[in-house]
Amino acid sequence: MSSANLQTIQPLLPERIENSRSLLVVLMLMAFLAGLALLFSRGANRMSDHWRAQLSNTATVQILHSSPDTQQAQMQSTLQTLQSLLPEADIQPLSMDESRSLLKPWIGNTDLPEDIPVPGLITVTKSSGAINAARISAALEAEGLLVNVDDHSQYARNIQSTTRSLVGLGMGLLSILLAAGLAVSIFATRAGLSAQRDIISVLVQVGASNLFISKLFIGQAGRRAMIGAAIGIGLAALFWLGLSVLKVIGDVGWQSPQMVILDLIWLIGLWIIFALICALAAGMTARRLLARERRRA
Amino acid sequence: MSSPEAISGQELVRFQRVGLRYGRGPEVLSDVNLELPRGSFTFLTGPSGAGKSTLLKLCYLHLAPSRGLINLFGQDVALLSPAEQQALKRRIGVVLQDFRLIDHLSVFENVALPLRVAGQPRASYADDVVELLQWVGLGHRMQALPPTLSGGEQQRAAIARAVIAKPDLLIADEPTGNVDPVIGRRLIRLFTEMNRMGTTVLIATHDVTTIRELDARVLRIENSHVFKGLDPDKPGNTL
Repeated sequence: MSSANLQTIQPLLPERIENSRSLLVVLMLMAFLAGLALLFSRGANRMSDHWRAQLSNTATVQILHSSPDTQQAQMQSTLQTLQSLLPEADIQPLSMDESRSLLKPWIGNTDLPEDIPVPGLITVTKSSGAINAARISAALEAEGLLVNVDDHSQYARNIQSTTRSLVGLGMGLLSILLAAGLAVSIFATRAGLSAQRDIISVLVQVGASNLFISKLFIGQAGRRAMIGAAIGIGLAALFWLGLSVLKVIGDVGWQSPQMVILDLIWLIGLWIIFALICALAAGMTARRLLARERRRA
Repeated sequence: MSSPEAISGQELVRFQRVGLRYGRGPEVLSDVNLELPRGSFTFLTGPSGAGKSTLLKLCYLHLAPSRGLINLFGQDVALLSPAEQQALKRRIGVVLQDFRLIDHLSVFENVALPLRVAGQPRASYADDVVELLQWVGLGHRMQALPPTLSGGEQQRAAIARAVIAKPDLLIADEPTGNVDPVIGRRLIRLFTEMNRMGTTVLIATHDVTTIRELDARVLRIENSHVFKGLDPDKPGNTL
């Protein structure tokens, strides 16, 4: 026998056991779903942050109760006050046609009568930093202007609340899938101990401790989980990348190289956690069952 | 934890009024008193089903007695923790009738198993394993898997595994049962060599010829009791 062959250490537990391929597929599917749940949660969070950031630096000033005769003058006064208050902001009055078109979602695509009162609207956009609606309101009211300043905070809160629910759902799914991975690993270890009873008996006979045998199961389950999870999470990443390229569900996918790297780091973390959970569950199960077996003997 | 220094008496194995029953059945072994002095070579014989294998299982800690006291290496085994028992097992080499080789491991790996379990680095034992396998006539089958070996080859591999760690106590159950007379004599010579180097040997066998060839102690099991010598009628042969 060549010395090269002697250097190759064979694993004490067989790599290919009955149903090992099915087990690998199950782990792969769970890791795929767990990966998607993680990416979905991160994507939803990112989309929410993006939308809320866009909303926080814009406001709409609505001029109330203006008659057609005075509306133009009120609009001018409001514009002047806003420009002096926020000199760095982009302040744009909406034309009457633009204001009227905003009503179309409610009244349909018909022409509005000329005498219908449409409020004057001004959009305020800051290039950076949030808009302080209360300060604008106070300043305009001090000028005797009757206005309503909407900083979209209600809408932002709704987005945040919905996002929290979505992220919670994603994390809940992720937890369930990790728990399922743990259960699968426990089940597989029980089956493995039973199927490899003869090998375990020889190992016990030559003096292997429970810890030694448990480590074999940790290694076996860990390797299996690492392979299954690597394939599953890799597929989830590709699937997510496909969704983001095709923009199937909006902007929840990978938007920039920076995001790609961050999401990949999270996926690698999930891969490690998944494999660790499976390996530790296998080790603890093996140790517990071996101890029980010894007590019986 | 046991260590060679911890052995205080001359006996490596001592049974005191040991009884064993499986479940609620009758006692397979009853009031067994025996001593294996350190460095002794002992044959255990008796009719089939008399309890030879059971007695050996008690010696290598595969079974716990239903009653009585077993003392191994100067320690009461009933008082040992599982870890201490496993440490003790590493000092015992066992050859079983059914060989118990691991099918997916090569002959080399099977033989090296006790050393691997003991945590020895591969480089420290690879040459010893090769040398021993050549000695038992398996030098050309080191990479073979056990299912491809003949019964005799499997038995030799099992014996090599039992002796590779140079155990303090070697227990063999019908070790020459499946090999031709030439190999059988060679294996017995291996056991006597190990015994000469200090290993205590206990062999269960039906082979009266082998027993008569060697000037060794003989224990005989009959009717659940253990007696000295081959001849049941000889005076003083009751333990």
